[in-house]
Amino acid sequence: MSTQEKIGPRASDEELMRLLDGELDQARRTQVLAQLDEDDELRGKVAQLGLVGDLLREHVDQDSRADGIADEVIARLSAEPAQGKAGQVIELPLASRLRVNAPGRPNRVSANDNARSVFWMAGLAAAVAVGLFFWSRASLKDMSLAEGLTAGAKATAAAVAWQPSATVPEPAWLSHPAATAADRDDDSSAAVEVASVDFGSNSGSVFYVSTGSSKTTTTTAVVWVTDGVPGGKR
Amino acid sequence: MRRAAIGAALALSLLGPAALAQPKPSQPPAEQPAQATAAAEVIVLYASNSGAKKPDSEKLKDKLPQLREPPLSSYDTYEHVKTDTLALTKDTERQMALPEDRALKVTLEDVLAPKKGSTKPRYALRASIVKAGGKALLPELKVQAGADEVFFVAGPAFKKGILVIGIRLQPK
Repeated sequence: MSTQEKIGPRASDEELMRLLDGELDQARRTQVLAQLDEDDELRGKVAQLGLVGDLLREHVDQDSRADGIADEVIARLSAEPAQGKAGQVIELPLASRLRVNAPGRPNRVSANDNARSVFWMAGLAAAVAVGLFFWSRASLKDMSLAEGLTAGAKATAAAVAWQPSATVPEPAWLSHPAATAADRDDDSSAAVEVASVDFGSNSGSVFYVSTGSSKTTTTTAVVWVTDGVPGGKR
Repeated sequence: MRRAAIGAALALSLLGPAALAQPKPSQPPAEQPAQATAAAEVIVLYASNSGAKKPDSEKLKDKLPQLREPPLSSYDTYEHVKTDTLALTKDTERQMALPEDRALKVTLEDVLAPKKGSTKPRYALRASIVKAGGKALLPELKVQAGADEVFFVAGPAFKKGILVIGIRLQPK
C-alpha cells in the first residue's frame, strides 16, 4: 500500500472541522492525523482558523467525544491562536493581570472572550511550547545596525524594491541578547503584553509563545494577521 | 566712589538670593517633564516553504528561536529582508517601508514605569500596517513591551509566503 493510500485524500476544511469536533470516523481520523504530521499547510490552516481554540472552548470541557482528539491535535499543533474575526477590535487583558502562564507552556489569550482570557492547554506543554529561546551570546558577525539600515531610516510608504540578500546579514539587534526571566529582576513572565488588536476587515490571531528554557521561561507575543495566505506549506 | 560701592553691595545683596534661586541651566524646569523617547528596532523576514535547507535561514532561527516554534514554524525557510531602527518620540508616528508598497507605522504612546522589582522601562506602543493606497492590513495593535523584549507581527502576504516582522524596543 502506498503512502498516499495510507493517508487517503487530502483532508478538506470540513473534515478538519469534524476531526476537531470528534465526529470523524476512526479510519479517516487516523488518515487525517497522519496528514497533519506531514503537512504544514494543513497544520497552519487549522491554526489559522482557530479551530483548536473552538475545540478547547466548546468541546474539551463539555464533550467527552473530543477528549482523545484534542490531545492528538494539540500534540500536533502545539500552539493555539487567539482568533479575531474581521472587523472586530480585540481587547486583551494584559498578561500582567492574567499571570497564568506556566513555564514551558505557550498560552493563548482569547481574542473573543475577555472573561476567558487565557486558555490553558495542558497538551501544549509536552508538544512544543518550550521554546528554548537562546539568544545567542556567542560572538556574532559584525554587521552593525548601520549596515542593516537602508534609506528606510526616513522611510515612507514608498515602494521597496526588495532583493533577497546574497547572504543573510545579522542585524545588530540580534546580537543583543533579549531579556530572559533570569535577567529580568521582576517576577513578570510576560515579556510583551498585547493590550488590543484591531484586525479590521481581516481575521487574525494572537499567540503567546514561550521564549525561554524551563528556568527562564517568558512569553512573547506573535500577532498573526491573515492576509489571504494559508499558513504553512503550499 | 564710596557711594557707588555701597550701591553695588546693596544691589548684590538684593539680587544675590534671587540669582541663587534660579534653576541651573542644565536642569529642565520642573514643570516640563522629559520627552518620552525610545528606539524601535525592526527586522523584516520573508517566511516561505521553499523546502530548501538554507544555512542563512538556520542562522536566523538560531538567533530567533521563536521561528522554530508554532505558529512561525509552519514556514521552513526565513530570509532577511531588511532591518531598520525607528527613533520614537511620544505620540509621533514613524513609518518603515515594507515590500510591495506597504508600511509599518509605529507610535510610542508612553514610557511606563518599570515593574516592581525591575529597573527596565516598559513601553506602550501602537502599531499598524497599511497597504499601498492607505488601506489598513492591520489597523491597530497595542502592546506593552519591556525594554529589549521582542514581539512579532506576521502574516502580510509576500511572494509565496509571508512577512514576519520582529520589533524590539530599547531606550533611545
